[in-house]
Amino acid sequence: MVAELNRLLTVKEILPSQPHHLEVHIGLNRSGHSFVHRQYATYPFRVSRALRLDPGDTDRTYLYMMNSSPGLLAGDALRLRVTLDQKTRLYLTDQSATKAHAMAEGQRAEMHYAFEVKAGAILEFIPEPLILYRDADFSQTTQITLDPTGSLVLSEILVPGRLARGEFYQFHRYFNRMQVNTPDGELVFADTMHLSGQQNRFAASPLFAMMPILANLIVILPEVHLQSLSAALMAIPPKPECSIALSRLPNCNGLVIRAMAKSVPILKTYIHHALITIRHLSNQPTLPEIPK
Amino acid sequence: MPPLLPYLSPTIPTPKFLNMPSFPLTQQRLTLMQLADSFFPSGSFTLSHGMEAMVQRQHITSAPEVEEFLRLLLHNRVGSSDLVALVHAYRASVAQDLTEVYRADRCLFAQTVIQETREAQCKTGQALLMVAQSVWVDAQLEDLQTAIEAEQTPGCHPVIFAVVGRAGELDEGDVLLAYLHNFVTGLVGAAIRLGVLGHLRAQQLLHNLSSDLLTIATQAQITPLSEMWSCTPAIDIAQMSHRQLQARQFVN
Repeated sequence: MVAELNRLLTVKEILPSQPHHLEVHIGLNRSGHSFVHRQYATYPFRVSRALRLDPGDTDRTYLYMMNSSPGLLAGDALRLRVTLDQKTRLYLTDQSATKAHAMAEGQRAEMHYAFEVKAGAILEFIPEPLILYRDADFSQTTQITLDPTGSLVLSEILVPGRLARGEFYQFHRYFNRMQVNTPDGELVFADTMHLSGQQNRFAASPLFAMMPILANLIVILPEVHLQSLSAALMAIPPKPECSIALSRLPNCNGLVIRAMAKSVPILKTYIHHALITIRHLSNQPTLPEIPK
Repeated sequence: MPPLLPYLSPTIPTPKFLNMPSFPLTQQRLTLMQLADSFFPSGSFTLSHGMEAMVQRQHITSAPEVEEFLRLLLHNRVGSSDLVALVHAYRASVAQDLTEVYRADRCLFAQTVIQETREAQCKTGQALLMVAQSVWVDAQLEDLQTAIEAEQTPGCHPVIFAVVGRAGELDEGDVLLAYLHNFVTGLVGAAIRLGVLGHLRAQQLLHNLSSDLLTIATQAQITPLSEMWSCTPAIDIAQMSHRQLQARQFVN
């Protein structure tokens, strides 16, 4: 019976089986250091060389994704795949905020991420914010195949317009689906958001979002005591201009942190402190400065 | 011997002034009322869905804000997530396909990322199942109980409600409306207990929401299970932080 259910719950990979615009495969060398075993990038992406930002943490590779286009444009359908072999460690980020530009009605841009985190591997994916410009229509899927002994820290920050110029929820639509599966394909959890822009009757309501900028942090650490981690993450000094809460994820040893704030730096600072806390509690070397 | 209930006898016509429909339909209506009634002890009336935290933090202080909160929850979570699982489970239950019922249940559980909501879904679901088993004799209800005890399926409230509605011989539309009525009256009751809504305004609010209920029920009937979503950032944070409230009347 359970086997039958598992088969039915096996969710088909949500990414189309088309060529990827960026592929990175992290391997482990004989010294136990993570390195870029294989990489491929085509327009608009490039990947930095493998960096060792912390000389005391040679096990981990730091990589920057670079996008040479002005941002997400109508008709874009970008696909990225990152694979972490057993026991590898990767900190992945990008250089600057992703801008979803104006699109004609009926057109949209898509971005599809596929991550595979094998046994004992640790992925930290901390991208810069996504800004939804007026008339943008953007759909993003993130498919993560996570070994039960693999670790994941993933953040996302969403800015609903160019706020400084008064642009607020003027985009058409934003869709975001993150799905974590076991290597057998069983669904661990999914977090799906469908955000209307111009048609959003609740956009201005403080009951929808008291502050304009939204963020999520997903933390899955199979060997960490979640209660201690929760307490430590909630002890990070709160700022008056932000609201943060966390909860335990289903079917795994992980947490989801939801946050909203009046400005991006507040959320970036919180995520930075959260990463330091996570590394400390999971006995990993401390987070070095990530130059941008 | 005359029938005990002569007006239900097939040989004696129902008095026209009662305008009573046939017995099965009357029975259906009574079941609908029983299931949707706050008197039905499913435990869902112990939930505030984040409203208590918002009231204590002064984010909800008035009747219009209660109405806004309800509309937000209905359109951005209940209709797009709970009802989609309910519809799928109801159709699977009608088709006697319990495996699909469990799939809907586990999908809803996996997509409910907030622990407080998930726990409340399971507790109220199992309370409903327990009560329903004492009312209706139905093999699926027994199988569901066995599957929950064996941890094959979590037993989320909307999914259990769907199977109970089918066991009570309600049609899909009635099950949807009963679930929504149950949900809305529970929250309106919570608002009254929290002191942000009066009884008269509560009735106006229930009336005002009727078109929203029809809209989201219709939308849920055409949404595939794989397209469930939710988007209630401030309510999520309120629900997550509910446990930190110093005094609580509600479970979440």
